[in-house]
Amino acid sequence: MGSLPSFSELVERHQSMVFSIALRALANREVAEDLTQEVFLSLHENLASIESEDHARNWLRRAAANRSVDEIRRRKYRRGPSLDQVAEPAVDAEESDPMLMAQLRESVASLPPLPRLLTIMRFQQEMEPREIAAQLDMPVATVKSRLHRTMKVLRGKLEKRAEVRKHA
Amino acid sequence: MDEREFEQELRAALRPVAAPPGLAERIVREAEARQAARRKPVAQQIWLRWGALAAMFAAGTFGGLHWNERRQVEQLEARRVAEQFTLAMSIATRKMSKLQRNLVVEVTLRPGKGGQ
Repeated sequence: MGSLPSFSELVERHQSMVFSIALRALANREVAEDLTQEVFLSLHENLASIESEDHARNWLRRAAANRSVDEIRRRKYRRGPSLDQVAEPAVDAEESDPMLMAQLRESVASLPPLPRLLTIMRFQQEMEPREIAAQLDMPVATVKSRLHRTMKVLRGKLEKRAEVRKHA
Repeated sequence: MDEREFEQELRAALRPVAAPPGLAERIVREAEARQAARRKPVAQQIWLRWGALAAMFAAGTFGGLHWNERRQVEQLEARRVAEQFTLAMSIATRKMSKLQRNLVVEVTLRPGKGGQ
């Protein structure tokens, strides 16, 4: 617990967290920026119910995850360009294996909404399954089993790509 | 690649990134703009409500006064008409009585008539 900083301080301190969740979930910088803005504007409207900075951080993380899931589903229904087909931002030159990183991000972006967000919360936000479960109102066992299955799917995708490259 | 290595690679691939420059300022500006936009209509609504209430009160008061005044005028008029009618009736009654008396006297006193 602790006192609640001003809204602009909250934005300054947590914008990267919200933006990172949205960017990895949506694989589109522009949409991620818009989503980040909407999440913070929603926080601003609900500021009276926020008690501490921890509370604000959890609130933002949950809002970013839920809105990302909604956005992914909305885009699927709209029959617009699928997020899976949206180009990933340029690979980071500092990454040890930029090709592998790009493949992993692409694989994560091709997951269904919920497994995608679970993966992001677990491996980007470094949240324990019980924290994810509390945040998303899900049983811990469900989070664990879905994460386990998602890891298998992601590894399978990666191995398949490696096979294709080997034969190419 | 074993499980632990795979998870490390996944962490690296999904690592948090810095928010674009200027995003925080844009968000704060937009939040302030929305808050100002929300406040204005509320203030306007309050003034409108008080204005409507005051107008209704004024209309009620003036309407009531006007109705009361009209009722008094009508009562006075009705009383005047009643008095005039009463006066007219009393004059007519007096005239009729006088006429009847004259007629009786004339019939009684006329010579050659009345069986004498």
